Amino acid sequence: MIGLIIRRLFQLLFLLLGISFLVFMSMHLAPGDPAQIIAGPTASSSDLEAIREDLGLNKPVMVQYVDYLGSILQGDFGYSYQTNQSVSEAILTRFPTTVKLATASMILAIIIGIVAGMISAMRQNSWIDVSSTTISLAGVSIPNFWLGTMLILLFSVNLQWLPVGGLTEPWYTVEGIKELILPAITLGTASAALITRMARSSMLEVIQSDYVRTARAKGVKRHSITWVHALRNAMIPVITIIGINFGSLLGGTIITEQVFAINGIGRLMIDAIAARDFPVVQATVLLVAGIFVVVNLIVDIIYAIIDPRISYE
Amino acid sequence: MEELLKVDNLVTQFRTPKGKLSALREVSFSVDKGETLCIVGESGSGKSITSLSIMGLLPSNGEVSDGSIQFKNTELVGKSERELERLRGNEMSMIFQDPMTALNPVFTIGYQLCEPLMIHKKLSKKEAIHESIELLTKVGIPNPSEKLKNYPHELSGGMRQRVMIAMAFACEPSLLIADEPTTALDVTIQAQILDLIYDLKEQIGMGVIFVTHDMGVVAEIADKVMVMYAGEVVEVGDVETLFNDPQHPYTKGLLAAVPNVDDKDQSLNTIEGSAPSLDEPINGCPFHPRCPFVMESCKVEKPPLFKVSDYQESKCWLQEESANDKSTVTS
Repeated sequence: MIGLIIRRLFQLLFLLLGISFLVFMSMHLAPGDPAQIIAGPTASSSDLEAIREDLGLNKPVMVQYVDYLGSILQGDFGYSYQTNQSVSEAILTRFPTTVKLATASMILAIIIGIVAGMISAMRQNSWIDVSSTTISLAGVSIPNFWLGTMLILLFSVNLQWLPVGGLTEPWYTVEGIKELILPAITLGTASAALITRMARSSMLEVIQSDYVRTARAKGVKRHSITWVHALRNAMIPVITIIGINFGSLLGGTIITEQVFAINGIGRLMIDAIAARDFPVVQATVLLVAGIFVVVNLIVDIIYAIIDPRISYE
Repeated sequence: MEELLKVDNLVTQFRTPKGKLSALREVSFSVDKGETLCIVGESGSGKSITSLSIMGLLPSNGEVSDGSIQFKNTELVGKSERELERLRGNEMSMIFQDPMTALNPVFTIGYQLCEPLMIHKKLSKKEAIHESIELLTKVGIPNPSEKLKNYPHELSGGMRQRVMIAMAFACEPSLLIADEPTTALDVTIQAQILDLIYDLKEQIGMGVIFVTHDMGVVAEIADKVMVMYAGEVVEVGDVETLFNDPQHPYTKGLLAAVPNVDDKDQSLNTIEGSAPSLDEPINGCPFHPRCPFVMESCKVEKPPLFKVSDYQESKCWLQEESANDKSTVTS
């Protein structure tokens, strides 16, 4: 197990190197000049030249990349072109907000998805199953920018139960939870729907298995067959889906943060892309990629814990 | 002898897109205390469905729609799931065909073996572990206390079937149903497992229903044999009578299909055709399309179970005459 963790963290380094190269190149090759954006449309060419000189943008791209790598290895992610704030600082102030949003959405999605999927499977073809299958199909299909807007319209504008946006209060306060509800639902719905569908089909397969029949033949009670014998086996494919889905969830934070005016990493990234703020874009993409890899490493570790047949030695 | 199980006119049906199909049609038999009944027949003849109906373990689309199953003089048909849970693994238990899939892959042998002991005998975890070690020793598993910590995938097929047997015997049931317990095992292991079941049965004195399609196994262990075809009982008799003097053409065919190693020139006998599927409507005797002795009456009317002797009953019109002076068992 420790071997696996070391191996995967080592792979992570190479992965981040590759991602940094791709992001660096795509930003530099994309149209749009950061100097122009910083200086505004009326700037003279000598002003632009001075800005480029100042930011190191007049050097050959490969030289810029090597310089960039050198500084990030020292923990220096540079300064934002727009605000002159240190990139690390900008990320650190916004990161907890995104973590809060993503974690809340994921927990919501996992709980709803597993419970709904299990109940659906246990009562296959009942009205509960049919409605949960229909709702989850809708959940997968609804784009989250639309869902977010509709939720705001209903719960914030019309009913005025919940705030329109922002995510600034601590999560353990009533205000903090109220703020979190709509964005977490918006971001978590698609994942919840996907997990429901996976949990349902996986559970249906497991309850028809021989070992569940053996458990029944031993006189094990129905609820402990479901929640002990079947659940653990049914979770194996569900966990894979959760890991893979975490990537799209992170992508979803960009839109959700935009809709709910939340100052998180997603919004930072969008603003930086629009402004050709290279250092910020590169650092945020690296961070998101790193998180995705680490989450999937955790998924692999959970695998080995719940399924004794999986060994990484 | 004391009657342990009495199955009477059992009808089991499955809900399918084609409508309700009967997998068992008026199956009747009984098992006495200490008796071994072998159920034989081709795949799809209803052997396993009979066992699952008794245990109350039918798949979700199946149900016992008529008839009765009396176990120790109490009716099982219509009992709630909760009442059946109290019997299963305790008063009656079952061993399945494939030990590779019958154990839960994510729990240790110890956990799975302790479960029935803790549920039915209300043992503490410590007592259950102690008892489990004894059970594993009884079924011939070396290093039992070590094996308790193993997961199913760490054991061989034969070892896993021994664990299944230990589980089935844990609460010393009065009735054991073994559904082809040796089919998935090597021949050498098969004999060991049969011996093991036989020994344990003798120790506890329970009734056994042994489902198999291996006539060799039947000859070795059965007291009584029941031959099934297309969801019906076609012949019942004690093992010697049935092997020496089979009455039903299907039983004769089954026995003739057993290869004889002494006769190298013998061509392998088969029964022409195949068993009808569940949704095929059957007129008359279900075996008549394959029967070498078919008569006109076979195509029109289904024969009742004729009493051939005190030890043998057969569902064939050929036995009508010999049974004429005796009363028919069912009509």
